[in-house]
Amino acid sequence: MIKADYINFKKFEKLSYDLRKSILMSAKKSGGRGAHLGGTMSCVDILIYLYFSKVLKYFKKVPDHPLRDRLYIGKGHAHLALYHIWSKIGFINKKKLNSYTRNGTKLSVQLDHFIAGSEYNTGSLGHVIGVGIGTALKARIDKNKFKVFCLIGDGECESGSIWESVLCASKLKIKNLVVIVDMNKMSEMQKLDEKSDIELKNKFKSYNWNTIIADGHSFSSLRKAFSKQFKNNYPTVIIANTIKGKGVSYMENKVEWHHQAPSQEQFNLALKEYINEKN
Amino acid sequence: MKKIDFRNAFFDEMFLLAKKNKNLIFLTGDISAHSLPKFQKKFPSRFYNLGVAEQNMITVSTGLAMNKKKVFVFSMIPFLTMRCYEHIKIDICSHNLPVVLIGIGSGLSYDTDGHSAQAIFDIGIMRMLPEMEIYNPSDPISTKHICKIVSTNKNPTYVRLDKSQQVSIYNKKDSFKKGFKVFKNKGKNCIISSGVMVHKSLRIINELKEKNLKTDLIDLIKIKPLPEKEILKVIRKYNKIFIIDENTFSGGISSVISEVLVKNFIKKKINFFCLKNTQDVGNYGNREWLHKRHGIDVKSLTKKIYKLSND
Repeated sequence: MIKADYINFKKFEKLSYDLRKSILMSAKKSGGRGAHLGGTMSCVDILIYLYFSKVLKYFKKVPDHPLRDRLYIGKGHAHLALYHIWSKIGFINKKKLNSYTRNGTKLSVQLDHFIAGSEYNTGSLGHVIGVGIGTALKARIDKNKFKVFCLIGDGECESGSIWESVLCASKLKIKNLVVIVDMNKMSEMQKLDEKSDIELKNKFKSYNWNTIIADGHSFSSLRKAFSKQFKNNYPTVIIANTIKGKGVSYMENKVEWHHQAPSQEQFNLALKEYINEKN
Repeated sequence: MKKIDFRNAFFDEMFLLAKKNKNLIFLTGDISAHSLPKFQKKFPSRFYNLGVAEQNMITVSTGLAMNKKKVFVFSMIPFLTMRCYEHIKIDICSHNLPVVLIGIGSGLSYDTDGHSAQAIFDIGIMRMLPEMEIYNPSDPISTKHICKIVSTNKNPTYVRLDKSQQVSIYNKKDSFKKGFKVFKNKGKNCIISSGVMVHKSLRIINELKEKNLKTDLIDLIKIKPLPEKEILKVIRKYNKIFIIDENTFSGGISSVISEVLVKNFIKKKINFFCLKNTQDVGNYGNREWLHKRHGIDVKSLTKKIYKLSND
């Protein structure tokens, strides 16, 4: 590993650590209802890499700059990770962040397009690849250079309209589209098959997509995935293997932490892991 | 007079608009029309056939519209509206995007195809969407004008097109901004209709005239938001109202008009001639036959309205 990478990865690890801690604290403060900690923690490292490694181009002072890269979030239940990232970037101020889930707040447990940094009103699964196609098509028509990313969950891939869009993106040869699947191998009610990443890869492959399997908690693996160039005109999917509830030992790989709200004691237990680790 | 297909009336106008507006993009769910190939030929980078995958088509239109494109989306009504309802609700409506949904096959247009292709309660479901505007033009000229109007709409819009050819009942210079048209015959009673049934209503009015009964007619073109004040001003002066609609009661203009009257404390004798509340699986025939089956053919409506007018 070259030195610059080492320094960067250390930086990302610190950012991830801080983000997980902030997420826990916000969730604790709000009582945890709707926080969906499992699927939030699983995609923290992916989001950190997107936002802080210059993969995703954004304009700090103009969140809706027409030439920004677009990130369409399918799994809006990971909202807390995004609120804290957008706060760190400066899109959301502290006061707004602190209003999370209070009556009259602009920050609830799903994302909407009025929030700076957020592109899409989430809450219903299976939509964003199509929205990404439309946006990438716009870029093609107008010869814009921006890229389009979509972050979806693996459970979300069960939705039929995802596959309508996967077929469409391939037919239209939407090269400018990268879909990231947070492959935590669990949906709200059940564990998915252990080999589901390979199965999913084969499905995308059969639709002519470029496919990459990565470790969604390893920055070097994510770097490899995001920097890979394909010489064809097809879209790309990065299937990022992750751990649901990553970073809180008692939550990791437990289905019940998809949206269950921890008790105050459980929150304290989770946060203790962070304090201990830091010490 | 020459009969013109509603699709051709609409898409010929859209072609002209696309020449001026470079942001106009057309998506179709593998449904064609005679007037479309020239658009495809002239603007290949603005014409996309996205196949029989309507939910995806709605999401693609969303991505384009979020990025300032004016998108026209075309498919058969049941597949464009009912199949994609949640996609329309979330993607187009909750972001309040000015996408224009153009549905072909209003009412019993697809007569022998049966219930799966027919659209007899789409107005009902589409008007539940808070942001949605709805237009139901009745002839080639109003269709052309509506195309122009919706091309600059700022809200999600749904246009219903009939799959038939009809003669023009309006003049090229007529204005459609008010959202409805009145045929005045100095009648004491009034028929309210919309879309292709306006042609039938005009025939009924003529038949009644031969029996020395004058009846006026309102053609409802903009169904949502309804130009309430203006329309009430017209309705108030009539004794009796007859609604003629090729939709079910709750799925068409019957409930639209009822709501307005009740909301404004207006008590009127009102008769509804609309479709029975059934998808009528297993009974097939042409449009005339179906109208007779539902009791909304010209002959029986003339008889009923004549009798009710004299009661």
